Amino acid sequence: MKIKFLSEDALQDLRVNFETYKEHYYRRDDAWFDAYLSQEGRLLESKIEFEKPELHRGEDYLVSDYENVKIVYESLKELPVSLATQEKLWSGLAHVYFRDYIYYRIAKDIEKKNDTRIKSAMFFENGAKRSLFVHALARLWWVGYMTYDENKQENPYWLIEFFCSADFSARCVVFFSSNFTSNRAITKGILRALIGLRDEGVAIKRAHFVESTKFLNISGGAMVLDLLEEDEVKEMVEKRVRKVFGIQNNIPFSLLL
Amino acid sequence: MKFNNSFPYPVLSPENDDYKGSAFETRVEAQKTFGQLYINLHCNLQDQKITSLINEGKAKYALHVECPQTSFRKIYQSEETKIVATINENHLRGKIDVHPFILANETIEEYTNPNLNDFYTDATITYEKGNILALGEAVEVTLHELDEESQNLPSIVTIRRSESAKELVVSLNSPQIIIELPKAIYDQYAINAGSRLKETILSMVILPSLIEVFYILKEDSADYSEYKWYQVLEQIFKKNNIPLTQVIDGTTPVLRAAQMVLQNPLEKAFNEIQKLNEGME
Repeated sequence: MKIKFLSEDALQDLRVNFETYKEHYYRRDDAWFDAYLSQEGRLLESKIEFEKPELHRGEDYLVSDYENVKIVYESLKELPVSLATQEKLWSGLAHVYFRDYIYYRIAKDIEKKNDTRIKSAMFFENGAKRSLFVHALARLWWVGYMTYDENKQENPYWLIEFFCSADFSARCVVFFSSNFTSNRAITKGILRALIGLRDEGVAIKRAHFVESTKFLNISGGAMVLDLLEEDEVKEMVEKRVRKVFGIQNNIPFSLLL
Repeated sequence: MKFNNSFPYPVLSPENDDYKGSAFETRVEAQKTFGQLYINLHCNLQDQKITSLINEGKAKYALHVECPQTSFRKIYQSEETKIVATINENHLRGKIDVHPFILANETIEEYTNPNLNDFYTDATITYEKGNILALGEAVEVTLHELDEESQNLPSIVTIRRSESAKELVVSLNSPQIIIELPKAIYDQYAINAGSRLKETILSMVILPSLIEVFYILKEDSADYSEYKWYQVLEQIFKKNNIPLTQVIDGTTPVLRAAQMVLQNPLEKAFNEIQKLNEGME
């Protein structure tokens, strides 16, 4: 099957007339969506082959977000990055193939008629880059893309496992709205530093993520971070987080004997 | 990547006077061929001390390329004065920031240079790896998805019928500028847009919308620079030898800018009205 996009016309109609159409979102009105999308000119066919995967819809989002990052990224790994930045693709996928997932993932917001979240989950409402990490479907692919570790053959998703282990929605935005996390060595360096601390028993919270990116942001004013190796970034971040949060260096057990 | 141009150490740059008699000139050329973007950097360094640091491998020429929208970010380094970055176009979209540098490749302690400004006499200068020794001219490359001919206003403005809007509304969070009209007005617009009052309608609908767009940009232009409409507007202004930044910083008043883009809309509208009235008499 080839992926179908929303046409520019359909995308703008759904966005502009959301007020009128919102009832269909509240009521999960599949019959209406199917009828709307089957009208001529609403959808365009791309050249990209795709098998619609079954997404995880378990009770715990912490589990399903992790599983779904893997599933979505695996099934759309060949997607050209420039295409993956486009609203008509993600809004199309959300409306055409993954409505059931959206209903599941923002169930509470639909119940509360939280229009802001319904819109930001279905459309790009937060600027060209930020939206990639806010849109309910796009963010799954993008987190996969940004953290996939091809050097770890046995589990290329090991960084994502950690990333998704708490507070997924906030982490996505806090972490990837910094420009330097576009550099894989930097992203991996930060995540490896935090994973190391977690393994020592530190409960990694949002504040640890914020501190890491804030610190690199300040450092990046005086140096070009991209010159650093992954290990150097790891070391810098670890040192900083230890200092700010008063975390002692681990003393190897052998030294205590 | 944005640099504020103030660093806690001397940087050779045309933007400051940290050095006397030294220069770092750069030229960037971008070329698109068969799905690849080639960014060529040519450097001309006139400074003996920094040249010798490069020869010793302690510093390198560098080209930093960043495309915020696709999260592409990479640094290319060399001891040579010419660097070519080859990037698959699939990894890029819209605006690309290009920065040329000379960067410290390792810690350089007790740096001295006879060409340094007197201000630095007796100062102990240390560069850490990644610190900037020289800064070239930043360049912005924009990849257009469409050919030159379609870089015009109609390609970035869409007028839509809105079920809920009570008055004209402009929204900017998409690749195009969306002008929403209340449904009854839209229907009128659709019937009359091609009539002999076309220009008049343009003045009524597009002119105030553009004014709104420029006011929003004055408030915060960074948020929108990724969108196609912004980039096309930038091109339109550039072609007319006025940078869009002049509208944003207020040098060119918003009202004037909007009328410039539409090329004398009032005159065209009144010509139409006059013709119509003459025909009626």
